Amino acid sequence: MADHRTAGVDLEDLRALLAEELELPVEEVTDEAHLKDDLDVDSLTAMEVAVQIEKKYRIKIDEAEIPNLTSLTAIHRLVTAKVGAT
Amino acid sequence: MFVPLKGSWALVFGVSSGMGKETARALAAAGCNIIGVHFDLAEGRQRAQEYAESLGELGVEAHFFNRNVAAEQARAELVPVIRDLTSGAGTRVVLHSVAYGTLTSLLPAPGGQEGEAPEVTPRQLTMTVDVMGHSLVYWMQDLVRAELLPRGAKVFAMTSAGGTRVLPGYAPVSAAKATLEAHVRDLAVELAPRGVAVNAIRAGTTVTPALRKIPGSDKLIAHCREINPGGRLTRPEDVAEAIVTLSSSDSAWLTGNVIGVDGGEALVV
Repeated sequence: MADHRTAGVDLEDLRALLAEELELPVEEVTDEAHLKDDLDVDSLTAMEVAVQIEKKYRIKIDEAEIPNLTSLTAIHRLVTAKVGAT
Repeated sequence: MFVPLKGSWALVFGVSSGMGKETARALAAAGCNIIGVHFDLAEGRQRAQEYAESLGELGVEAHFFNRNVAAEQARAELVPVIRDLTSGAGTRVVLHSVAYGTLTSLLPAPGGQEGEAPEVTPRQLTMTVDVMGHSLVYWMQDLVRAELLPRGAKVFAMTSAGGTRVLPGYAPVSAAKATLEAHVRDLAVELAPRGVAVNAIRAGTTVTPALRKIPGSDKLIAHCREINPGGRLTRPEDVAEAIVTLSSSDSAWLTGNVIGVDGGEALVV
């Protein structure tokens, strides 16, 4: 398994996590698909995604940051910044 | 007849905040072991774990689980855990104190501009009623199926004045509370032959993290403080006291009610 602190955050790992939480085929979770507008994600599902990301990457996400989880690219950017900071 | 809670188990949904948190403490103080379910991000999760440890210091077992109470997977995972923890005896007290929903209006603002409370989307409405209302039914189904709701068990669901009245920006939660109260009546009737009582607790306006999220809650707090005939707002401790008291009887005859715990607040205008 990759060490996220040195190897960075693998985009495909994150895509797979998202697909599983959203119960969608991986190919539907494109880089720029908008979670709310394109993938029909509500605030509770966004919360589930955040909790799983916190667990997997051992980071803390603030409640105020949840609205920023808009797409795979946005999530990847946020997780990368947080993993790099720990 | 009064039956001490010591050594029995309570299942508390929404254990990390407000009424659920305070009731868990009061039940633990009465010697009841706690299985708590909450849904928080890392910070809240850490605080909840510390809280569970503080309950343990009261001499009971306290096990908290960070799960979405409305998810089928959470029930599938936790029902066997509840069976193991209670050694198959099941839960004497179940408290549904779940505050997770969309606070907004039903209709678009006049003039079509997006105000502070834009019209609710189908997804938001469905999610809110599912989490704050229907989730009680699904848990009851699974607990009954697993025979973890013994004779004498007490089920409580937290409703609010919004279950029958209108508060600005509260509409989806109002629908959820009205649904929850309907479920309480039907569950009370369906569980009566099993000797299980089901009631809704309608707390008066109480300053909790969930209340503070309601748009205009400052005004509501000021108003209720003024009109409450008891001369103060409701505290989480008032709710906890009522639930511990009602749970301490082995009678199942008090069932199917919406019980006000509000110092008479809802009776005055």
